[in-house]
Amino acid sequence: MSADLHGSQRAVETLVSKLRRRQVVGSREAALETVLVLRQVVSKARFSNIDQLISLIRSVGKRLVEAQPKEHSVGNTVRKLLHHIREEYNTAMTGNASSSKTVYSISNFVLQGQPRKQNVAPKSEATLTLKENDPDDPDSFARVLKPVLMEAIQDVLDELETVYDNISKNAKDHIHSDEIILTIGHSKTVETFLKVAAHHRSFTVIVAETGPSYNGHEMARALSSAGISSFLVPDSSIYAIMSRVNKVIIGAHAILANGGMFAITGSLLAANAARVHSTPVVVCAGQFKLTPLWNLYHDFGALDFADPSSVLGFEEGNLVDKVDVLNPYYDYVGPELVDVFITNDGDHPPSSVYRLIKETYDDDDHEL
Amino acid sequence: MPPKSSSSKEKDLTDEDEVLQAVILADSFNKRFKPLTSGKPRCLLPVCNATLLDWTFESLALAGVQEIFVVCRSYPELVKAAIRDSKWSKPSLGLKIVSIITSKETFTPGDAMRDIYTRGIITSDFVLVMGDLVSNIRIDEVVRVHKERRRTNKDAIMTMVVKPSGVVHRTRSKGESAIFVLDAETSECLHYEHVTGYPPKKHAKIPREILAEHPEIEIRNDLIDCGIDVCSVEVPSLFQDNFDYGDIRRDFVHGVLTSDLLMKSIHCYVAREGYAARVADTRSYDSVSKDILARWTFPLVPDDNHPGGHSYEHIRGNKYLAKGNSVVLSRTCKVGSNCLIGAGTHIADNANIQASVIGQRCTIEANVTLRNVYVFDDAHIGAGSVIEYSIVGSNVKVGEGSTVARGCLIGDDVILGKNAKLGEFERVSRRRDEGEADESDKEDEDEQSEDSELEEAEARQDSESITAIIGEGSNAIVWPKGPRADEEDLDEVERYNNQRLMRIEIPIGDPASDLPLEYEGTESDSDASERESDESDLEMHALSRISSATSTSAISTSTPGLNIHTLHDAAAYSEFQAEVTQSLDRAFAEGHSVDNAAVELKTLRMASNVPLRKVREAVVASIVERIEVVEGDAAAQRREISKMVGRWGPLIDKIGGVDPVETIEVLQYHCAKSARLPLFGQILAALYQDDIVEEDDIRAWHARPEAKGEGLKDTSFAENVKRCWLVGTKMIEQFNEQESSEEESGEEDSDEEEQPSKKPAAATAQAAVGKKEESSEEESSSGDDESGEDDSQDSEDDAPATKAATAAPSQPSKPASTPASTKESEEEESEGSEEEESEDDALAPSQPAASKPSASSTTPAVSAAPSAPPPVPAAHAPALVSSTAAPAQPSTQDEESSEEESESEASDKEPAQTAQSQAPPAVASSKQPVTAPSKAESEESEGSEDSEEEEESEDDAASRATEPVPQAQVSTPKASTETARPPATITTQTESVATIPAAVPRPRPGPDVVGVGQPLRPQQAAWRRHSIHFGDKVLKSGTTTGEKARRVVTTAGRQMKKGILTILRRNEREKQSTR
Repeated sequence: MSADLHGSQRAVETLVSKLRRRQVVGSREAALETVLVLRQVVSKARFSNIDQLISLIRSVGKRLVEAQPKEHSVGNTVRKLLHHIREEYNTAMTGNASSSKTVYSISNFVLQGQPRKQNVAPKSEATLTLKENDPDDPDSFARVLKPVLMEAIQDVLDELETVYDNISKNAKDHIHSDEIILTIGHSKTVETFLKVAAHHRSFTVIVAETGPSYNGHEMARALSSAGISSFLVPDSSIYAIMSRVNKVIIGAHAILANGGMFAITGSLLAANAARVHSTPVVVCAGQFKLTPLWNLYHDFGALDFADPSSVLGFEEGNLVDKVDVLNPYYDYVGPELVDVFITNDGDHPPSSVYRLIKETYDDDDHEL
Repeated sequence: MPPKSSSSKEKDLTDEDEVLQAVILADSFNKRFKPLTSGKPRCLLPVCNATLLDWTFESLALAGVQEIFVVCRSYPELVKAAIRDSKWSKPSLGLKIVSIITSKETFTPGDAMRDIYTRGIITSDFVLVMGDLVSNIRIDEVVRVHKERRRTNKDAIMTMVVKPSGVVHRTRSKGESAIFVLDAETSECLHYEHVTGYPPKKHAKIPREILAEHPEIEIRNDLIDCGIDVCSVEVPSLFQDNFDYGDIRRDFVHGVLTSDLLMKSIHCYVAREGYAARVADTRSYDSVSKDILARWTFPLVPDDNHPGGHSYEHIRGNKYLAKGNSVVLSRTCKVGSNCLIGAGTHIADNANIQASVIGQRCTIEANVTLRNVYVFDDAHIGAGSVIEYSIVGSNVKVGEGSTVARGCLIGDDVILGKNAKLGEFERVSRRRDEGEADESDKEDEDEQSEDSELEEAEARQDSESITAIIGEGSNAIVWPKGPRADEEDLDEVERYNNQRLMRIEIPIGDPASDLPLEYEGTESDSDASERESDESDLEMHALSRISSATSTSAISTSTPGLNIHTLHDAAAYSEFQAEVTQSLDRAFAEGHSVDNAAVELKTLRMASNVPLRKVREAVVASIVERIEVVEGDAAAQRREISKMVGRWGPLIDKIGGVDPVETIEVLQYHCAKSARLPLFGQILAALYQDDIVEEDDIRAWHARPEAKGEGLKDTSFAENVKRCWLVGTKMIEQFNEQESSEEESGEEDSDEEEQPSKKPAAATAQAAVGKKEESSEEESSSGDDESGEDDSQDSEDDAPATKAATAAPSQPSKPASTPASTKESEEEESEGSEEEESEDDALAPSQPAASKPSASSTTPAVSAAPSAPPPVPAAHAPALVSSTAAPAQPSTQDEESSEEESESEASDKEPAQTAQSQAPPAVASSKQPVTAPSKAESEESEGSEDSEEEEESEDDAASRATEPVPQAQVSTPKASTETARPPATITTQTESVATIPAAVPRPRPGPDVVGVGQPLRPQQAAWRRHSIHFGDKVLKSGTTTGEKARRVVTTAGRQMKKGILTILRRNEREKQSTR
């Protein structure tokens, strides 16, 4: 058993160092890895009550988040999992299978308060099936709960795996025939979204090159290979071209609680240009990118500055010594620049992101 | 996605069930960081507040290394403790770190490698790094490439990681870099040459074989050597076998690449992505720190993946402040960009901090100015101090109002008093208590040298001026500046002047920079010439031009050295000789194959460490002595010889290095001593027959002073040598005859024959060349003929002795530093090779004699002809040098030769006179001893073409005769500036490539008969049959024509090969003797 524990510890450390070394990049990738590690941790864990389990997961989550605070999806996944575990636990404890997923609306939100609090039923020690802190058989609690938990974790995993399809399912409702769409970067979500829409509609996509990573090249290649008529334009012409564009569809790295988001460099440029031309900005993102972070005054480092080599070659010895090159990987796009978020959980305006976050995570977990 | 693929690669590696091992040499083996490293090893110095060892571990862990051996020498306990306390030893990381403590006698990386070998810890391919590496390069990718290569090529034993940088780059060490010659396609490292900043290196030597074997090569001096090597298992064992390998680059890589026995290859991995650099000196400490702060090492940056486990917040302007609110910054203090401030540090009012790294728990008081300063932990900088471009050790206390100028190193625990004033490049450390000093003496025997240095420093500490430097109440001692007393014992790299280039400093190019460029320049001249004479049988002048003169000068100078050496180890040689004879006897008796015998000889040579020439002598001697003497029957004798030579001749070339000229010389000297003297001619013919020597070689040998027995005191021996030489003379005559016989009338032959009787020794040479020239170019125009004659005259003057050369006006312009005597021999030799070359030139067009223009257009020279300066007059130059030198001769000579001309007498005389009338300008041109003659000769072939067009216009020729002189002068300075350029110019990558086509093979109908009556076979100019790619610069500067370039390269290449072998041998010997 200790070997198992050691094994799960090892898995955590491996992921930690991979995150630190940027061997796992991309929010979905990181989220998937996190779920897998957490599944291993839970399956190997020994606990006799829910608090032990939760504190265990939180400690693991803390380690992972500290390893790479800029990969927000790691923390989001941990939070989501904790939320699911609590839910399962509550269901098991109360014995009734009432999913009690009441529908929220802005009108009754304040009255309803926290979703969890409403769900929580008074803990009944009398539950036969589940007994915490059983002195005779300390493992009984875990033994009974574990299968349920594994199912919950599997749900999260499934959700992550089907996220692109779920987001794209309404694609044809967002894109109309003969529209001109502008996109930037190479977001898998956006790519799938556009490809699915192309089944029903014919439209044109303008892809910005997205320097200095030039992901736009891949994006344009991927789209045109799917039969979508695509144009690749330099970033500098985004503004000039904006008047012809019907819609800007971009991906996000993380959606913040205030409705703003981190997205690949250049997104701010595109979003601002769109604002000037009153072109709608549509953001496609999985729910796992919802981050309970009120980033009103985001800190400078959050933009994740990468190495300057893609901007200025290391060979330019003379310049290297004299020029400081900043190469931020992300832009912070404020909520006022975004019109709608399309998630696998429906479409939401930036102003209701906070509510989504409240639904998705437990308040206790905002600080892991 | 790159991470994905890399992780799958990692899986691949583990799938093979091979644990990736790494060896860290955690000792610097030098003292560049003293006094910061007195008291702790270099690998524990902090860079951006994490120890170098942590950075190295992180770099390796990135690559998925699972097992790390840390080889420590000095302060092993500290290293061990550091590893034990670090996060790396946590079992959950899956890293297995083993520290190995080597003995104090480990002075070089080579010793450490031998230690690794004896411990037998290496089981598979491993990564070898120094303990001062900062890298984010994907080493696992390098390992994968290496393993893939190993699958097909077992001899690829090592892959070095190099990173391209610009010509000027802060991270590329000026004091210690290298020239890499890479195959452009396979990036195999073909040649490695270490470059020191001082004395500045201006020449690179590149073995000719490289040019012959590889269609495209890159010669690069812009690579940062990252110090990451992926090695195969046999690398440590190679160190074990070659006990004198010290440095991994200078000895091991260079040794492996130049070895003619090992047959191993080393590759380079040119890392386009990623960053890697070594903190090898204080300058690179500075640049690597800056690179880290500028995020070149991403994701190894302070705010992301800090190896020391600290967490920093990245704020605008690449400033990094420790997280957790432990840093106290005064409201009025200024923290500029590119700064890193450790946890717990207090910075007081109005302090100004620019581009500095400050450790943990430091206190910076009010009004302090820090610019480019690296402050280690727990330091205290007193109010109002100003520190620039320096490194301040941990726990240092700098008193109020102190100034520390650039380049200072302040050791740990130093206390500087109030108003201390450290000058530039001062090094101070803490004065030790008496008891402590004694103790450490007992404890660390290996620190002896350091102690002596310290004591010396301590002894000087009493004067008042010192107190002024370090302030009142200081516990510091100031280390001596300037070169150390035992400077001579040091490695070239470690010498003071070179180390100056490796200190933390204001960036290069800054007007305030202290780099003494003019100083470098003045010393370099004498230095270069010194080196030229002592080690450079072959110097390639910055690759741009090699005059045959330089290469030969080296040979003539190196020969005496060899002779002295011969006396020295005579006993060893005779022993070796006996062994060789024995093994050859056995080989002859038992009928071994030539290859086996060659291997045996190679081993013998390695065992007794003798130069190649000795082996050659032994082999030649054995072969010659084996030939049975058949009295009276010439034919039988001939059969005997050809049997012997046919069977064993190839062995001469298989013993490791082909040098036919030397072979002939060896043969000559042996025959002169032996009873088989009469057989010399026949043996030589047999060698020629078997293509072991070729016509050119015989001519080259013939032209050498040694061949004539010059300088030999033993009269009978000298006589015999002379006789052999005369045999060679005859042979060359026959070569000439053979060419001319088709076209020549017999009358001319007889004419020629008369000459030797008049001037016994000298005329033969003249006849040899002169006749051939005439005969081959007989049908060509007058101007061409004339040049041929001039040349023959010239060689006549030069060949017998250096009389003419000495008589020639002094030549001050170009190789000013080379001594006059060298110049003579240079000239002589260049003439000698000219003879040889001019024959080639002449021969090529002569074959299809009827269609001369088309024939000559096959020679590469013609392609460059249009751009070349008017060729005919240039061709005159060398002739005129000699004609002024010996005024009596030329006229008669001209007359004579023009008389010989059977067909074009009239047209011939005229130019001859013209030539004389041109004497004064030609003298002027003779000031360029190297370029002018050789250039002239190179243009002969064009001359033939040109003059055909302008046959009638003698006036024209005369008027143009004055032209080339200024032109030649112009070209010479250009060439010299080209060579004088710093090594950086070598970075010219071979992008614009001039391809020089192979020489035209010269099939020669051979009904002619050599002295011994054997038909000659068509000669193969195989050694020329390759193409060479060169930067266009090279061509321009060195020569005017492609033909010339080819010649330059080939002659140089031949010499170079020999030269490198000699150097190697000498180095080996020297090392042994020091041992």
